[in-house]
Amino acid sequence: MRTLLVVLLHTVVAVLVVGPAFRSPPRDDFPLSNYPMFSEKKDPRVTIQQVVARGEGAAEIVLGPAFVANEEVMQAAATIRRAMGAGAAGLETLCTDIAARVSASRDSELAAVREVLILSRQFHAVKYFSGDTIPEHEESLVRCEVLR
Amino acid sequence: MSAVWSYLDRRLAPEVPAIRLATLRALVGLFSLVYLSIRFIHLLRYRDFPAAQFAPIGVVSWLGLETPLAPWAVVAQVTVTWLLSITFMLGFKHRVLAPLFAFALLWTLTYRSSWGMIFHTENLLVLHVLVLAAAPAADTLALRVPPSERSARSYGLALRLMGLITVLGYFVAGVAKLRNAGWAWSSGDVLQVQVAYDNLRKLALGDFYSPLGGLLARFDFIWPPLAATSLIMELAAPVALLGDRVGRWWSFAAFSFHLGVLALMAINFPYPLSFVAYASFFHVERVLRFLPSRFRT
Repeated sequence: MRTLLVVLLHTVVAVLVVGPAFRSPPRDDFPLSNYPMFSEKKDPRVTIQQVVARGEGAAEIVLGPAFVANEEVMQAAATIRRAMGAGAAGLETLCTDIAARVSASRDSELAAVREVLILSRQFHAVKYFSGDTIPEHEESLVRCEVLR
Repeated sequence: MSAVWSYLDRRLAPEVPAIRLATLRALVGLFSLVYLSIRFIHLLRYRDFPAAQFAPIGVVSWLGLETPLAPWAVVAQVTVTWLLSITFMLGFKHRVLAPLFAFALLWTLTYRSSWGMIFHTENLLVLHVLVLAAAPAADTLALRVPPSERSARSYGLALRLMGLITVLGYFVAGVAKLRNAGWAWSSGDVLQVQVAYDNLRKLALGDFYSPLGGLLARFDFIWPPLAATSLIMELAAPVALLGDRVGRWWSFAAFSFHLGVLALMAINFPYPLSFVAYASFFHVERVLRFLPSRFRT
């Protein structure tokens, strides 16, 4: 009887852990997941929404995820995607929030920043690391002033 | 038939000393405490996140939370979880407080993952804590140990369940690769693009990235062996359940895999990289030799 319970317990736990992988479609959840990270066949041409700050000249400073959401880059990326989904108003709001954080920042590198831009840039990921760092395509999604 | 049952009983619930499971509890508790301490401020930041981004999953969704918690509640959940990690580590009132800690950790980390991005780095820790909280993991090496007349197999059962959860997590990750990309995943192309893509995205978003991963992304010949080795480690993970020695060797392989992920993608899986994730495959009580004698009971 005891052994049967032990076998049953192992079976239940195994089914719970493996289950998300064999569902159709597979299910990513927490803490039971199908662990989809690194599994997808990705197109090497990647479009990235990038947040940059500009001052007087053309030089730009890439603003890190902490300016967008928090220090988690994936969460920052999700925040930008969600703002894009909300249309122009969503992007304006996000841009203004980021500009306010830049304005409040004590980072001396950001002292001369005048504007914040959210850009959509397309690169070839593998070629980028071979030295081809110029975006294949670029579009400015939104631009806002940094009020001081 | 009875020989099969007897084998299964010995294999799935072996006799192990109480100190082994208790040491594992203390180590997982210590890891949780350190992890929550480091993440404390980060976890508090979710009190300021825009409500529009809230996308509840797991237990947060099942329990019907449709809008973000009030800021004071976020502070409370993080603080309570942190405090309970101390009682869990010390084995204090384990029967009552350990399940509370397991639920608090599950809730707090699920809440963290309920904002559009699931942190897969935390799944295994939560699952291990759930097992330890339900197990007699504080019959020794604990504050105020209650008298117990338990079978040594009870301790072994919990250890085996933790091992099962560990290896099946990797197996599932291997299955996901086959379902999404097929056996072509082992050719290395998918991994090469993944590494380049992930590093480029971090670089473009102003985050830490791996210069080594970026450097190696341009060399095609490196990726097939790395991809094939990773896939074998994941799909063959259940083999680790066949014996103690093979379990230990697999643990080192999985640990090396995470070192590789850290080096090539700057992605940190703290629990596996602490090696505590694999401790159930080892006679972990031996680490107590390094403690002063007054802390061993």
